[in-house]
Amino acid sequence: MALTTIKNSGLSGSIDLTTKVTGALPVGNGGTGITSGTSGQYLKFTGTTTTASSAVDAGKVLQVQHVTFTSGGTVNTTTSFAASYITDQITPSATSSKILIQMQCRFYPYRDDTDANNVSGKIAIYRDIGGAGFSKVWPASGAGDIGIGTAASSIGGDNPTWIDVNFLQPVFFVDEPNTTSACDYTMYIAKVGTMNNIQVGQSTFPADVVLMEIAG
Amino acid sequence: MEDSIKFHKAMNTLKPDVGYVYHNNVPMTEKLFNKIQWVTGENAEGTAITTTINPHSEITWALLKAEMDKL
Repeated sequence: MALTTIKNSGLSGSIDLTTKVTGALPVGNGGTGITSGTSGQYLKFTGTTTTASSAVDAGKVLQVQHVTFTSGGTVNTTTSFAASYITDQITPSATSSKILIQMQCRFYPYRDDTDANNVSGKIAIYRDIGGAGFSKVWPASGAGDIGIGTAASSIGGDNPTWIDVNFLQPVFFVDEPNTTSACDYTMYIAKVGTMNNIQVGQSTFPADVVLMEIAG
Repeated sequence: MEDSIKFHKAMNTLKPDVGYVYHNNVPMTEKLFNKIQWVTGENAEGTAITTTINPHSEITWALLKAEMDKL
């Protein structure tokens, strides 16, 4: 069958690409070189002029959210967990992703006497997905008590009528939220036993939150 | 004496072991006092139930300030 040449003048109007074109438009011509891909995967260059449908390698960092609080603080005088000011949000790009949560802050248990046998507080991480409400995701079990035991004579300084102990408290946790909705992670705090209160922040020492999405 | 310690001592004088949460600055002014989250209970998960409506008649800004001024 003889080939028919279509001149430019014959291309006026429009061409129905859904019915008049077959095959795959090569990368060199502005196409992808493929006619189909796998749902949930990405288009990846496999050569300088070739592409393919490809899953993201597990373990790769997909995004990082980071916030530093240079001021602020929260005080809680009860043994019930209450939200602190330390919080950040991330929106996973895939339901299979894992989220690495890293938080650090000044942790400051305070008691109004010199019974230093139990200078401690509790930390938990709560998560809210898409505004549905916060619930505890870390620690999965146990109370999450953090503290020190020391002799009353060794702390209190020149004013031994109360005890305040400051230390830098890091928290690390890997979550699997199984969603592509916005996830808020917030540090919750509670006092322990006869402590007067637990405080986080309340100084010029910065608090940090780092949320990393990791391909699952 | 630090403001935070003064505040907690005064609060404890008015009503020992009262439950509250506050953020940022120590409530040393009436405006900040009115932002205190008062803990009224706890849910099954151990999370505090709070309200900004002061449920403690023993604690008012005027009484608290008077106690703080003594320290």
